[in-house]
Amino acid sequence: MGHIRAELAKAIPEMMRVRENIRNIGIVAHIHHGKTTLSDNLLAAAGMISEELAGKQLYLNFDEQEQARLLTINNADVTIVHEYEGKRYLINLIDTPGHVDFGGDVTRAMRAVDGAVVLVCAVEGVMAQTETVLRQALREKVKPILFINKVDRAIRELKLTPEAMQKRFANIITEVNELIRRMAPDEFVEKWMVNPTNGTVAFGSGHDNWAISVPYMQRTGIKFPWIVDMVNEGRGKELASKAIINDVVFDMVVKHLPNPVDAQRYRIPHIWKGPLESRVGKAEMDCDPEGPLAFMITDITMDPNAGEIATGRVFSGRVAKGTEVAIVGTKSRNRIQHVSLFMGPERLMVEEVTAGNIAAVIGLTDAFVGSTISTDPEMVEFEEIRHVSEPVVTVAIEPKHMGDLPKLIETMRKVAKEDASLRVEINNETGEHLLSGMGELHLEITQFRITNDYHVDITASPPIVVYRETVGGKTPNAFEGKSPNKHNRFYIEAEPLPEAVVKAIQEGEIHQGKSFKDIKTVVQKLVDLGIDRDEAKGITAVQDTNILFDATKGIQYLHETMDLVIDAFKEAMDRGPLAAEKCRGLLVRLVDAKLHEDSIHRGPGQTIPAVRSAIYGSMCTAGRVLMEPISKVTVNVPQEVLAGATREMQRRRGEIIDMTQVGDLNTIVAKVPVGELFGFASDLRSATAGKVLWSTETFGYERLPRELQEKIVGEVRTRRGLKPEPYDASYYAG
Amino acid sequence: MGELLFVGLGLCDEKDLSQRAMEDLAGCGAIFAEQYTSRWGEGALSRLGSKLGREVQELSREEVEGERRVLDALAQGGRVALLVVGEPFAATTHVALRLSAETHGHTWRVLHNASILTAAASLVGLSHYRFGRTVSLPRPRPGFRPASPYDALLANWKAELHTLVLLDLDPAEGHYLTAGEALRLLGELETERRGGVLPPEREVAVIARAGAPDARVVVGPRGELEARDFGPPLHCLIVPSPSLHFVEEEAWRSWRKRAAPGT
Ligand SMILES: Nc1nc2c(ncn2[C@@H]2O[C@H](COP(=O)(O)OP(=O)(O)OP(=O)(O)O)[C@@H](O)[C@H]2O)c(=O)[nH]1
Ligand SMILES: [Mg+2]
Repeated sequence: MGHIRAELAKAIPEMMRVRENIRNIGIVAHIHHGKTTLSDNLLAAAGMISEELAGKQLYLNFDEQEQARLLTINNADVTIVHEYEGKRYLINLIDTPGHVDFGGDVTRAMRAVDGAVVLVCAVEGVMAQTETVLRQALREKVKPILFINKVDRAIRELKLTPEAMQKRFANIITEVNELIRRMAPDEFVEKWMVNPTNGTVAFGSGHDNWAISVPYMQRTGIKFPWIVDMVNEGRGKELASKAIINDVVFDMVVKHLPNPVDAQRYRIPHIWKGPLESRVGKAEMDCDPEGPLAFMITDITMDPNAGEIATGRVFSGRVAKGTEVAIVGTKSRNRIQHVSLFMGPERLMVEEVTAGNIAAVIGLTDAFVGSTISTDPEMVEFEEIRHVSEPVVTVAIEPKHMGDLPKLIETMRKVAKEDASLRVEINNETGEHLLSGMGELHLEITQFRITNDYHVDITASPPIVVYRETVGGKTPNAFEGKSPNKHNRFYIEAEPLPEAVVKAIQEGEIHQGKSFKDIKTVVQKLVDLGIDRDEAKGITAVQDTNILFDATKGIQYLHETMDLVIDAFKEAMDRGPLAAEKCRGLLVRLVDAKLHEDSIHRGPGQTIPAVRSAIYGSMCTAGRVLMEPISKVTVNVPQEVLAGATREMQRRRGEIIDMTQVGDLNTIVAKVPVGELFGFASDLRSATAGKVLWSTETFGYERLPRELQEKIVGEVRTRRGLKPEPYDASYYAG
Repeated sequence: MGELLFVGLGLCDEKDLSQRAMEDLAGCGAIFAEQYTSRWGEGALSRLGSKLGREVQELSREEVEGERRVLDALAQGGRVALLVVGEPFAATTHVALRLSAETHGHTWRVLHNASILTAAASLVGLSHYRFGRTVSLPRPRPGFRPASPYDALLANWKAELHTLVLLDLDPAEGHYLTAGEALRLLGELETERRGGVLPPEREVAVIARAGAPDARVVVGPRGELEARDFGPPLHCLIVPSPSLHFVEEEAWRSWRKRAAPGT
């Protein structure tokens, strides 16, 4: 083993230059469908792990918390060397987490890779998170192939005939193809359909270390009924030696997933909006190692020994040790201290990493996840990596010892840098240090890290849900907002923005801000989504999922006041009138304004409060509504504990939307408010005597039941130091 | 029901108050003053207080615009005064408050005093009836750098009228737009809008501290004056009409010849 590793350590830096023989891939799936088990076993089978790691269970879940909780939290990068038809290939593989709280990691990993192995558990089938990860891949123009996993369990537990089993597989494949058809970029819809006969689908057991595909069966003469027998007879070892897992999976990867040169041709125009004819544009399109450096950071981790490690994809040029590079979009320049490639799960120090590879770098202290690194500080940055879900849960953190406060603040900034899905808010006014994350688990893990990795003792408030404000109807008559000096009046209407438009904003199809590069396209997009053309033409600003439209015509002096109107709109959308939560899905329409002729009487101190009052007042008269985040919860339980599980969801205001049964296994799908899910994990475990598998995903925001609104509004306001009662319309009219 | 007495303070200090004002103030229940629309001489307000033997309560902009303080005092019955620098309803208008007081069933009265609107023209020697719209020039801030003051100035110029330009002030933050800054800003707007009214060579008048013993008038080309220091606030400007009456012309020239102190 030792000499193989020495040989690889020499070979890998050479292989990284043969771009046609590189594959950058991610393994993605619904939670617990077996990504890490498969990745582990692939590494071991390919002889890529050191002796000390071999034999450790799920060693790609390096983190103590990952091992304790039996799930993946962080992306793990590994590199595998695979031989196919006499050539050696360098496969950079990222094992991604499946838990919805860590979905942002999947989104970011998809920027670094060109292909994805989508795992689907043969027992559970296609799950909602399968759809999510496929969407994340396809949106980045990452090509998917399919691996149907846990076939051993399906054989043993479902006890289906080989025909029925094949039918089950066919259904999974059809479902996956439906999703691809719906979400793939037009040019790839047909090309990227997965199909067992052409070898873009494989089946097997990551756990028992075997896999097959149709081409592999044809080549070896293995037949499916034989596999069923082997599994049933418990002859897994023998099966693994005949249906060799790394050959099946990596042959499929090499043959069907693109190399970086081919992939960058179509991916670059999608992820980089600079001029393609420019020098750097050409180099990126060609994946040219001789071109200027274009390196995008997709992950940052804190290594206890090495410190901050930034990982990302080199799209052109080379990241070389000792060179000084610019963090594009900032004034900072950093010197690269170390560069490494991966060898198996370990880092292999090299002098440089060239275009088409995934590099790990030490020294980029000013970079964030999403930063573009280049030798040219003026380079156009890569497109932002947008993750659709936002933090929905917050805790307030305090140091146990007041003396630790500065250290806590620094640590919170650090963990936020390491984990791009976290939000940290240090509120100097209320003295609160708020940590917001994607879910309870996410925050628990972060707190654990603060105490254990950074050694700051903390206490945390119970988790608090992040609400949103919107309106239930339309403002009956435009609401008049007066400036404090009474010399300016703004007339505003509010109503819900159509859900399709909200979605388009979330997906990044309509950009944030107040300047629209291509206004015609934006207007057309809005019209296509059901907004009246005259209205659409008035688009003035987008803040979160809210839009300000200007419906006025020819009002004198309004143009020189508009920036202030937009400032007020942003302020109001950031802090709604009900509970000072952010607004969501609002259409705000300026219909009229009466302005003082003399500009001194309509400066920021007059215009901003006037517009804010008009917006708040129009929201009051349109009917203010508080929205709460919702999770979709899927629970798998045997019949005997079904009632307990159902009860657990119902007593949490859960609404069961689907219930299915296969054999003894029941699947319940329910919508449950995030706020009701705190403590769900342990309650569900005890209600089901531990015989439960469950997962959650985000399901957006829904209206809080009317009867709860007053109470919750009061609670949120009190926490913010506001009087419990919100102001009413007459207050904003004053 | 109460009576709201608007008292103009004039341009300089407590000595500008009339005998009538002093007497009427003596009979007031509450005396409020605002100092955000303009600025009275240093310490003048407290000297007035001691002269009257009464407390003068200074109100912030929020309090005056919010109206509560004044209306509550009026509700007690009796007379309530609001002291306003200059002339109460001239440069800045407190008409909104007056209307509110009326709505609440109170009566009001005004005691006039000198205003910069007349003082500046008088001092320079230009005819009042030949002035166009008065223009206020705000200090540029993020999201707020209006060009309409320039447009108004241009319209006056085209109609052969003089323009009085009042400059932004924020006593709460101790910020006063100076004549130099204002002339530079107008110069920028000229370059952007190209109306031709304010090229660097155009002669304008700077009036500093009108009404005070150290009042000053300087006439000269805009481009030259923008680099000059005119001393403590308040400052304002006059852009004269393209055609001056011969008497105006003579008065204007007299400033040109005068070597003002400190220049
Ligand atoms: N029977 C069977 N069990 C499997 C197989 N693959 C994984 N498992 C089991 O499924 C559970 C989850 O496996 P992981 O590899 O952690 O799944 P994962 O997709 O990485 O999970 P997350 O990263 O948390 O989403 C573990 O108990 C595994 O032992 C398989 O092929 N067959
Ligand atoms: Mg995992």
